Parts: sequence; C-alpha cells; structure tokens
Amino acid sequence: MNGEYDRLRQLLLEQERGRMDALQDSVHQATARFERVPDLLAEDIERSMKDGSRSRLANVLSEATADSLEIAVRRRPQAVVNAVYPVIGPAIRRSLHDALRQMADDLDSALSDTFSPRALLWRWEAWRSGLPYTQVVLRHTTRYQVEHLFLIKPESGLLLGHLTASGLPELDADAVAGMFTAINQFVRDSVSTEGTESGIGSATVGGYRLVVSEGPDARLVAFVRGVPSSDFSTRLDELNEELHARHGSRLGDADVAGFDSASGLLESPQLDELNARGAARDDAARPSRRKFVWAALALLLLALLAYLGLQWQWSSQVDDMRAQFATTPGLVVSRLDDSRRGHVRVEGLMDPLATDPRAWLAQHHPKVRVDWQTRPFVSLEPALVQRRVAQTLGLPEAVVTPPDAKGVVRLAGSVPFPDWYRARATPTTTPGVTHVDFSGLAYPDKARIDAAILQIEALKIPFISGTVTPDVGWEDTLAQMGEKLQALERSGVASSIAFHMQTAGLTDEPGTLDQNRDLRQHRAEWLGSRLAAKLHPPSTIAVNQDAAFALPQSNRVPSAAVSVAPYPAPVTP
Amino acid sequence: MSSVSRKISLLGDFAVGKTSTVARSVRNTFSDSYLTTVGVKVDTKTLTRDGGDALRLVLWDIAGANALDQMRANYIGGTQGLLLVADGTRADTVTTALGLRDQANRLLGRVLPAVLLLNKCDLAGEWDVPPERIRELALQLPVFSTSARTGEGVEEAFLALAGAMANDAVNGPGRT
Repeated sequence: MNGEYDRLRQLLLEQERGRMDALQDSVHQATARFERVPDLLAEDIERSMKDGSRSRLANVLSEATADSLEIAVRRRPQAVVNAVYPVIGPAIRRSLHDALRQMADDLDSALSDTFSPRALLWRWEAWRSGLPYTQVVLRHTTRYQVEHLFLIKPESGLLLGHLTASGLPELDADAVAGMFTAINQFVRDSVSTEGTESGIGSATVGGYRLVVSEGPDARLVAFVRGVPSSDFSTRLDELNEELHARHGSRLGDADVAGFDSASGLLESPQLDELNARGAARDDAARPSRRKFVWAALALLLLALLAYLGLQWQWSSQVDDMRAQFATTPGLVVSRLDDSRRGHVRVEGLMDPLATDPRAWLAQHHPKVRVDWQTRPFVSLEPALVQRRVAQTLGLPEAVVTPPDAKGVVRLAGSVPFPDWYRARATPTTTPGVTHVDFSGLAYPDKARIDAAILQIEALKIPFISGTVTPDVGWEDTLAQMGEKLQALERSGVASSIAFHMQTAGLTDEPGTLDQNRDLRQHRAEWLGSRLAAKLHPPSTIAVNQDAAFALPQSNRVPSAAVSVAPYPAPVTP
Repeated sequence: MSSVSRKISLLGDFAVGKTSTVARSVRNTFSDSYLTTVGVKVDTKTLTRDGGDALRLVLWDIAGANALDQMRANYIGGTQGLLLVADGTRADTVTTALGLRDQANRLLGRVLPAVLLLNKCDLAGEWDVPPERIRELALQLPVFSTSARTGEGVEEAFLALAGAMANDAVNGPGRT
C-alpha cells in the first residue's frame, strides 16, 4: 500500500516538487550571496580607494553618512559632541595652548623689551624710518634659518622625509629621527602628565630651537638656528597639515613603500618656504641695518663731538674763572676743583672788602655752581687799601688814591662839607698806610671860605700897652671884623656850614706873666663880648683859654684877634 | 634608485653583547650613554639590495633586560624586524631572547621577522648551548654564531633579517 501510495504521490506532486527544489536552490543561492554582501561591500570600497575613483556605493554611503551626521547633529547635538570630543578635544586644547603661549611670549617679550636699550634703539629706528614699532621688532626678532626638517613616522620613528639647508654637513637623518622619537617617548613617559598625546612641543638646544608639529600619521620636526618668529609653530603645523592632505594614508605606509628621492616625502621648496619668510625679513632688514650702523656711527661721532665741545666749553669757562679770580684783588685761590662739569669748588683766602666774585659769576657763568671754601684775611693790595681807607673815612673811593711806595694815601677832590669835616676828624690806622694826606681834599666854596677866614683872622683890635683899653682906630677894625664874620655866616648857610670863633688876647714882652695873662684874658673877653653881639646861631664864640696862658712873644703887639673854624651846622628839627 | 627604511629592534638579556656585536657594522651617531639614560640608542646601517635599491636599517639598540617594561615596550612600536642576541656561554640568555621576541610579537600583534645571534662564539671553551638546542632553534628562526670580537656572522645575520623582512612585506605579516 505504502509503495503505491508513494508512487501515486510522486505522480501527483512530481511537478510541484521540482518547482519547490528549484525555489529552495534559489533561496540557498540568495542566502549565500547575502552572506557575502559585507565582503562584497568591503571589496568595493577597497577597490575604489585603491583606484582613487569613487564607486556608486562610495557615493551613496558618503551622502547617506553626511545626511545621517547632519540629522544626528540636529537631533542629538550633545551626543555628537561627546562622541567627537576625544578626537577634537586635544586639537582644541593644543590650539588654545599654542595661542595662549604665543600671546604670553609676545607679552613677555613686549614687557621685557619695552625699556631695554635695544627697544629704545628699535623705537628710534621706527621713528626714523616711519615704520610701525611692531614691524621693526619683528624684523629684528625673526632672524632664523631652518637647517633641518624631518618628517618622522610617530610610532616607529622611521624617517619619511628629510631636508637640509644648503651648505650644512650631512648627518645621519635616520638615526636622528629615531633618536628624537626615542627621546620624545622617553620624555612623554617620564614627565608627561597629560596622557599619551603630548610629547616634546619645542626645545632649545644651544643655538638650535626644535619646533615640533604633531600629526596623526607624521611628525614634522624643524631644527631652527636662531629665534623663530612666534607664528613659526603655526606655519609648521600648516605644512604638516598640507603634507597630510597631500599624501593622506600614504604617510602610514610610506616607509614600507620606500622613497624615490633622498628627501622622501619632503620637497625643497617647503624648506625654502619656511626659510624664505625669515630670510625675507633678514634681507629686508639688512639695508636698514646698514643704515642703522651708519646712523649709530654718526650718532656716536656726534656724541663724541658734543662731548668734546662740552669739554672745551667747560675748559674755557674754567680758564675764564681762573683768570678772573687771579685778577680779583683780595682773593687768593689756593685750589680750584673743576672735575665735575658745571660745578667748581674754590678754596683760598678772601678779603671781606674784595669785590664779590659771585656777582661776576652770576653775570658771566650763571649755570656754573660754585662752592666757596674761603677764609677771611686783610689784603695789602693797593686797591684794597684804597677801599679800606675810603671806608674808614666815610669818603667815596674816588677821592682816595692808592698808597704810594711809602704808604702815603692822598685824598683829592671835593666832597660835601660834613664828609670833609668827619674825614678830618677820623683817626686812621689802616694796615699798609703810613700817612693820609688831606691837603687835596676840599668841599664846595672852601677856597672862598678859607680866604674869608684868613681876612678875618688878619684883623686885630689894638690895645694900649699894659691896659685893656682899645687903642685908636679900634672901632673901624671891630666893625670890619663884624661885617666879615656876618658875611662868612651867610656864605656858610647854603653849605650847612657853621663857624666856631675863638677870641684870643695878645700882649707884648714887658710885664710879668700874670699881668700879661690877665691882659690876654681880658682883651679876649673884651673882643668876644663885642663880637657875640654881632653873630647868629649856629655860630658860636668862645674865649681861647689856651691863648691866655701862652708865653709872650717878641713880635707881638698888644691886641685881640679872632680865629674861625668851620663845622657842620647842626640839623634843626 | 629608491630606498626603503626598516626599523629593527635589538633585544637581548643583560651583557649578552648586543651593542658591541653590531658596533662594527653600523653607523654610530650617538653615544652609548643613551643606553643608560634614555634606555635606547639608535644606529643605522644601509644594505644594498640586488636591484641596487638601498635598504636602510634603523637599529634600535634597546637596553638589555629579561622582559620588556613599559618604556621598552614603547620603544618597540613600529618595529619591523627583531635582532635577538644571546650569549652562547649562558644558555639561559637564549630563553630570555626568545621570551623577548614573544613579548614583542604580542605587543605588536604580529609575528615579526627575527634572527637569533648566539654571541661570543670565539669563547668555544665556555660554550653553553648544546648543538641539539641550536638545531631546535634553527627550526624556529635563523640562528647565527657571532663574535663581537671578530665580527663573525654579523653581516650574514643582517642580510638574513633583511631577507626575512622582504618576504614578510611580500607575503604579509603573520598573526600571533
């Protein structure tokens, strides 16, 4: 039964079974193809990357990826930020770090250079050339040369490229690149606290500055001689980015593929480009530097000339002062210190009556400061003696002559009567003076007054011998004497001159001394009483008592006379 | 003419003569003091291949140790070939060299081309590695008897390593 049933089923379902087997095969084939889809997709992507052409799948995936990313950013921005932060975080951090360091360097440089002599020179150059100060500073601070440029594979330290500036000796670039990588790793492992991404960013070795630019597939290291500009690190980063953009994933296996040239993936223009900016600034600065040297020399020469001029001027001033001091009577300079320009210290002796040299200095050298260290003394210089006599007598210096060889000082000229009178009455004991000759000293109308006095003193009232009785003719003589005295009084009023009269009696030889003394006393009193009635104040009259006791002289006749002496009229209030 | 660079790490135990073995045949730029300060010294050697192309071997002479610590492990990065050095008068240094090789392979995630130098072959009287052991080692990797004193076997070892690395580049690296 079963066999028939199976045969019947086979007959009935044969056609359906064949279709089912075909469908099952088709399903198996489709499943197998589906399992190969990832491999096929990968092969397609790899093929497109190798060929450099973009396949349809790559285009679709790039569009879909871009759209997905855009949607993700729009819908869940925080999630995207968190996802990419580990990638861009270090880059942002480094960028900020570099910017802050550059700013700090600039600020530090600006502060440290602001008041330095070099900065002042640069400011002067900027003022002279009309260029901004910052440009001048950059011109001077960016002189450098990139002597070696290494492109190094970060992990292995293998050299991807190396350039050396012309004229420099060859070095084992592979070893240097490897050793730098080793030291970089050593430093990173030993001292770094920021994780594995950080390493040597820059270093200074003698006259070299090592500047490092880190890239994901290559590290660019520049050995710079001199001081690179503050933006050099940025420009090195730009070059590294350019190399990554140009070579892309080739950087990762470039060492495996090998290089056709000794410089590897680097090209000479890149080194020239890095050096060009420094050199351009250097070249631009060279003519200016030459001018600066000439300007500095000119400035130095001007400074030297100015110094010599000032020294000459000061020397002339000092000589002038020395000459003046040497010719100043009463000033003896023992030491003159002129070591400091504009300042003089004088030591010596100075007569108080000497002409004060400060007045002369104030007039001729007002800017010179003089310290005087002098001691007083009495000078016998004729001019000082002359001055001292004049000062003692209260007379103008002009009427006093310098002492002659014998020490005689002569007075000559006319002075007011009070001065004349006081000078005559003043005793003089001036050092260097043996005698003062007043004969040449006069006062206004002195000649006329002297003549009038002589006339008055020549008149004598005759007396009868042995008596106090006036002799014949006494009336006329007394009248004449009174008139002349009154005329003399009048003439003295204008010059404030008063007169003091003294009457004296004269006797002949006969008679005793007592008799003659009585006769002289009475005859003088007789005349004084008569003249007193004729005189007016401030004139005064007195009896000359000394004359009363004088010895009789043989040539004298019995008479009475008057002597006249002028004196300054008292000032009436 | 093109040139290719290869990074070779020189590994071995303390005092097996790594530095002195290769000193004659490499270009020394840096002082040996780097070995005691930084822990590594980099030398170079250039081989000319059959086609006239230059093969630049950058030899990282890593300070001797029986294991790779963190610092030495960092120096291994990017290595494309291992020059293992053992002291023929101290059999245990062979084991250390092989251990260092295994550790380097694990660190880099691949089987590196390697050659083994049994150094101090001039001290035959003190030789400590039996021939059976050498034959056994030769099944695993190229083995060379070398002498730092005479320079024997060193150039051959470099050539063998260069050839192994060339094969490795063509056939692709093995996985650990």
